[in-house]
Amino acid sequence: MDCVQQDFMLEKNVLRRFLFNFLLLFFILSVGNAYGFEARGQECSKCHVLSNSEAKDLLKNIIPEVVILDIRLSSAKGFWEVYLESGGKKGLLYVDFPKKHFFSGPLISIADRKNLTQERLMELNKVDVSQIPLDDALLMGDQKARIRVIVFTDPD
Amino acid sequence: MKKIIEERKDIAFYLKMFPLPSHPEAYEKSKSIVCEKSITLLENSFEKKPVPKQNCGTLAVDENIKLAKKLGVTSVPMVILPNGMLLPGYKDAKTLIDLIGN
Repeated sequence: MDCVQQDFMLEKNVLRRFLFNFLLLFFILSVGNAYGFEARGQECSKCHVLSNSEAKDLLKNIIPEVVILDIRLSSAKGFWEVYLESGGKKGLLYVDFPKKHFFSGPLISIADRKNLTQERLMELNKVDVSQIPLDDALLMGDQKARIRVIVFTDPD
Repeated sequence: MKKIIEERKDIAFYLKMFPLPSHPEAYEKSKSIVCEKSITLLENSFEKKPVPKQNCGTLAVDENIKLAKKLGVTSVPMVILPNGMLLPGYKDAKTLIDLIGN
């Protein structure tokens, strides 16, 4: 086989493969449209379910001693937001609907230029201030002040 | 914080002594500061001036360490707003006032 012929064969193969991939992609997308994504009058939250125990199974080999605290749909379509604890630290990560990938990192809203992950974490990590005794605390300002702000500080 | 309480008479700060394990002397200093309940002593400590040792048998510092763990306070300074939101790290007066709100 001379070089030109070989090249031609190769090209033909590449073309055939390309066509095949294209058809495959088309097929997957159409299936996706029927089952994977939001169909008319159907809510995504109903066709996609991720339970706490399932999330734990997905993540336990990657995140040591993972405890799933809460799962809800992320505002980024196609992802769940998973609130978890590992080694005494709490955090968020995002798992995709096919349950094949996750990412941990800030989710940014392009329209609002907001770090949604940080905002959500602040909301989730809120504490009950009534649980914090103030009798040992050092007061700065007026004791009768309406707004009480607590600061944990270290002398060094 | 000084700037804020001058500017906003309706805000008061409550400082809880929370010595980090990475600061070996902080635990005893914290205890002494709680015994004396003295802002001046705390300021002296920030300025690396010696803190005279006091032992009034207070358990408040140990309680604070336990409480911090429960609340998820892992670093200092940690500001806790009246709505329960945790704000880690130093903030300038303006940022903090904006976050505290009205």
